[in-house]
Amino acid sequence: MSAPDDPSGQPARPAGNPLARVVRSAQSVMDGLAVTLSYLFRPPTTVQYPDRIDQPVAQTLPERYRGFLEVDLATCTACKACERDCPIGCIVIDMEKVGDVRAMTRFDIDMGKCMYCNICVESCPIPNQAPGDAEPTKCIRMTREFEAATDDFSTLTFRFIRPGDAVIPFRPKKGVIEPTPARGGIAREVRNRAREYNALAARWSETRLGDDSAEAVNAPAAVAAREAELGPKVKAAGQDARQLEDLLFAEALAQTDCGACGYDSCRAYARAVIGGSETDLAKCEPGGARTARDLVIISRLRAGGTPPAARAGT
Amino acid sequence: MSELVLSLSDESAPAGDEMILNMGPQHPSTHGVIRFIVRTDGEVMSSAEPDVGYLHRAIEHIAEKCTYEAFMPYTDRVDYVCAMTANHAWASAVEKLGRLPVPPRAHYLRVISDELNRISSHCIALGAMAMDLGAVTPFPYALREREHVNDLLEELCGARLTYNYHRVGGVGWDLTDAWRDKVLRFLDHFEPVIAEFDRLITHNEIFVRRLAGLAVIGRDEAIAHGLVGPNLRASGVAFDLRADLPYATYADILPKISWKTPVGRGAAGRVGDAWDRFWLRVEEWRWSVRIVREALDQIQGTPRGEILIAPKRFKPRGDALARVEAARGDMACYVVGDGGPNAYRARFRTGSFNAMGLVREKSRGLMVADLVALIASLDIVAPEIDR
Amino acid sequence: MSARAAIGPCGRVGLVIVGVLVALAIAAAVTAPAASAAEEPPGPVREAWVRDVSPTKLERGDRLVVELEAGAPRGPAYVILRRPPGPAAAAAPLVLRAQALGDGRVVADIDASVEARVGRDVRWPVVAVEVALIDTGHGDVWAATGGQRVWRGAPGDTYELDFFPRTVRGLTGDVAAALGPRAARHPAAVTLAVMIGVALLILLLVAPATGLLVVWERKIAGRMQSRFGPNRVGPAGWLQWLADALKLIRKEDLIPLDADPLLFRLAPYLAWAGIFATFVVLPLSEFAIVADLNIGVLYLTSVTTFTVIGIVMGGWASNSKWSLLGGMRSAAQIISYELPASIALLSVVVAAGTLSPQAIVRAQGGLPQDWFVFRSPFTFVAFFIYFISALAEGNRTPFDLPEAESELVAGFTTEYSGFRWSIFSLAEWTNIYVMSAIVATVFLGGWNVPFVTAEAVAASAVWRAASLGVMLAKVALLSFVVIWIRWSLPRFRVDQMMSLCWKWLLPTGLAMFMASTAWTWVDAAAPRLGVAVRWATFMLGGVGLFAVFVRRVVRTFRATPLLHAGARQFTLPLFERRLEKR
Repeated sequence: MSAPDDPSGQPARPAGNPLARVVRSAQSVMDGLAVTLSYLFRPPTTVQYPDRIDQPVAQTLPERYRGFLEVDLATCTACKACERDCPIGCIVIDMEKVGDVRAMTRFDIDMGKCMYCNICVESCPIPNQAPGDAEPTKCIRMTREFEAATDDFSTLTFRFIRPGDAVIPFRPKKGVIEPTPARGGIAREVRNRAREYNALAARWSETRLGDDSAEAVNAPAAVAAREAELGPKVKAAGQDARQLEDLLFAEALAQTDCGACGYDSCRAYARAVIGGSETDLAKCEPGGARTARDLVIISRLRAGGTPPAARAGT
Repeated sequence: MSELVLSLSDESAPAGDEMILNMGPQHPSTHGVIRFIVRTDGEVMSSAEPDVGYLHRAIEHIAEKCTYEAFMPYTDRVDYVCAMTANHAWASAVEKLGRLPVPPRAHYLRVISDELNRISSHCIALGAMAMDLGAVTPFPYALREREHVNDLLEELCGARLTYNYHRVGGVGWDLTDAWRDKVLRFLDHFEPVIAEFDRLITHNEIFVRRLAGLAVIGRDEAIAHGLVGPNLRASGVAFDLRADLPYATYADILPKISWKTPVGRGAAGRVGDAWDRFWLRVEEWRWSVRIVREALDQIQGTPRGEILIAPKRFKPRGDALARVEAARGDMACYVVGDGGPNAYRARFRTGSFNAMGLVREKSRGLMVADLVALIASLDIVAPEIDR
Repeated sequence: MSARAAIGPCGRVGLVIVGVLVALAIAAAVTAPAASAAEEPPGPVREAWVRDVSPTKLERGDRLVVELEAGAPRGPAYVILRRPPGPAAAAAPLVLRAQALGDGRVVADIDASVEARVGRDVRWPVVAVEVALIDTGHGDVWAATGGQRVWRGAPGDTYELDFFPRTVRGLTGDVAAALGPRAARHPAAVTLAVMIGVALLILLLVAPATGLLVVWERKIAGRMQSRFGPNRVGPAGWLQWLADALKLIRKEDLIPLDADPLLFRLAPYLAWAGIFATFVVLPLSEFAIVADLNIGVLYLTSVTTFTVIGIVMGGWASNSKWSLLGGMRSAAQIISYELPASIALLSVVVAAGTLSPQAIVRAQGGLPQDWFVFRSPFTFVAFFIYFISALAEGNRTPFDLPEAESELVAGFTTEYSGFRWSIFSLAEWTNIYVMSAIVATVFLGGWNVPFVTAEAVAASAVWRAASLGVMLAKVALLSFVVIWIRWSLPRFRVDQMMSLCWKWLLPTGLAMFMASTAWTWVDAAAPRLGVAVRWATFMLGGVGLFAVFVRRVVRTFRATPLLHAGARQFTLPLFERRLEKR
């Protein structure tokens, strides 16, 4: 195969006579082999984390290491500067009136979303001093903890205030650097708590929101309840196509405009259903069984079928 | 609706023996998530057209949604292999926009962190290129050295990849004396390692013969296609922002180390071939070591602790362009302010994007095995292309 | 244009070689006649000579044929084989009952009685052969030959006869004898059973050895890259191969939709058979050889072509254009490099005078200067030619482009997964052992134990075991070199690899073959010159090259003094702090 075209027009370096090329090849090969052989006599540089190390890696990390965030709530003034300045919006702080005081009821940081950028720390106005640290830190600070590998995203939301607790904001004294526990303890505790309870909490809220399976959704009681809900709305919409479209969109469809049903948008599907050109009411994928059921109920109500509850004669 | 359309500039079906092959978006050698549509008869390619956009994360759009200071961590992700220089580009642009002062110590710290990051970025570039050509061993060696740099930068700013070290108006952390000694000790260790790397791979006859004369990019072609950085210098154009349009404190540092912009000399075959691009990055390693040493020396003349003049209620109006010499070339950051706390528009011009434009032309007539060498020699990383 | 400029560099080198050969030829011709003339003893005026004795390998059931030069006797005769004088018992000649056929040949049957007298797997240096006609009393038989009664071989004619060497046939005979008379009635079944048994034995020994090689390669690769290799599964990771094999066996049996059903399934086994079949002739020690074929080297080069068939078949049967091209490329590589490999081996074959592996090993000695690699500068170069060609035939870096990971696909193995892929893989790694064993046998002295002669090795059980150890050590060392080269060098492009074969290795190989042939003649004619050149090649080639290399390794160490233990060495307060316990 010939050499590629050379647009620069420069002549190639002459390759040299054959013996010189052989000698040069042999020399460069020997050089390379010598380097790799020498490494057989050098100890490897691998750190065999996590089990073949003689001290936890967290203790070997530098002081400024940006690991998990933690908040020493004892010194938090609830100024919400960290929440405001976070570039990605992973901090959520709720201040509520609890009894007759205003207290924080929620201080959540989603470490799965966090960019580990340190901006929240820099915006915090409350300096702290932790034992063992050469440099002062803040009320919200990054620690040397980094171990929270999980297969469930919900365990990465660190809840510094237990659900149900309320924390009264701290009143800082001017010019005083508050002492604070050694960095990392709070983060570890919150992380462990998140691992234990968050998945449970997610599943609990799922059960409160309801089962989306076809059996649960089409159970007679559920269908009857839904018909009772939708009945007046369908009646109010009457024959107005636009209002019916809004009703379908708001009450039945998934509102994602994903296109899985084959239409460009949810409203297009709704229009087709109302207009009668679409008879398949189970096309909405994200909505699933719930949407199909609601569409069937609305169609039935439009066709004039009275809800079973009304039929009972009440 | 969401069909993947094969978008070729020439819409003709493959001729005769030719087949169309997809390289990517997942592929061990595309240096990120890029796709190449290759037309080949099995041995020689007639074209390899890049299809970019798989790593687009709308970073420039996000700049409009958060404040100038808050956008800094996002710039890390523009080129996560060499994040410091992206930080630097943004900080410089915003400082120019708002006419903000920066303390000299911060400039030195920016130079030191930039150059250390350049070393670690070239570790990846050179190691990956060697690995693409079959020499697997230089890659772990390069990564090992990169780990040392990562450890140093971790001690300086707390992070190993997405540093968020520079700030609008300075830098985030000051260095300590212990850290300075560690960096010097690392540099003492690293210089002979470069020589060892050369012996292992750069001057290896098989490696040289593989790359000599491959994908030669001439001077005029490089300039016409907007190549920047090591790619441009390897083609014989002696242009380096650090020397020709100095920023930070390069104007004080470079004369002290007898700076001479390294350019490709065609020592293996022709000027501007793939080996020149490899060799030039090795030379840049050496120069970065010298720059860091000099900067660590000169920084001692600046007052400790003065590393940041943070602007208050920063709502600039106007536009500004700042260019820094990133590892992959001249990264330009153009920012437009409309008097609000967020930027109106942020735009990053990156070296890899321009280099991608050259791949289709250069791939004509190349063998399939050489496409990988071509991409690697241009040091293309996907995040920079798509942002 | 001057004559000098008209001849290119290769031509000039060729002229130099021819000139050297001509000079050597003249030197040998001048010295040789004087040497042979001095040795010729005065003989009887009228003698009939024994011309040839064949075959030199005698197994049970063979016929020893002695060819006579003049006269054509008929009738019963004795064949008397005399050995060189030595310990009294061993010096007794072997007398065989034979039959003179009348066409100049005398044949003697080699049967169980001969075996009882001579022993198993014995080598006889025969310095005198006599054929004596027997007077049966039915007329004077030898009167027809003018009174000639005894035929002798020419003084100085010697033969090396191998009695009952270890072969499958011999083994079959042993097994049949042990099983009793019933087995003797079904010789074919016994033969088949023995062959299958031997094949299974080879498989059971070699496959785990290959597995260990795979783990060893990964560990070496790791250590060369400043990391550990596998070190979790089994003691220090040495059972990693077993875990991988078990995993691959359990994978889904996937065949592409339009793949050729039979050929796709058959291909891996062909490739694998080609490699495993070579173990039959590899002399792993003085006693451990399955069949000492006297065409051993020819067998080796021929049977490995099964691998090529397997590769092309795999590539074609995958019904993927990409696999086909990868397979063709791989096949082209292997076939091209067969030529320099065979030529390089032939350079040694002419020096040894035999194709039999055991004979080649016995022609060498235990110490390096007696190895064929240092026999002459020509065999020294042939060693490198063979080694490089063997790497190419085995698809090892720097010749592994057909299956490179940075290529768009994985060549002919693209569509193979699971167990079938592991068969290809097994073939490839076993090939490392095979190529190392061939290099060790042909060039590096084989199983010869240093400071111990081959006869002494044959005589003692201790030295026999030592010979196995020596050979395995050489195979391990060469395998290490093959692995080492893989992890140090980048790979060639296809066209570079082809031009290396056809433009460099093949012409040089041919030149070395011709030169080695000529050198054999010179060596025989002027032995002192041969010994001197042997030592010169050893000192310059062996010791010198080794010293140059060691110097480079030392220089590497000195150059990077700070590359010492531990990660995080630049960030911990104490640089010598280590994180892992050993």
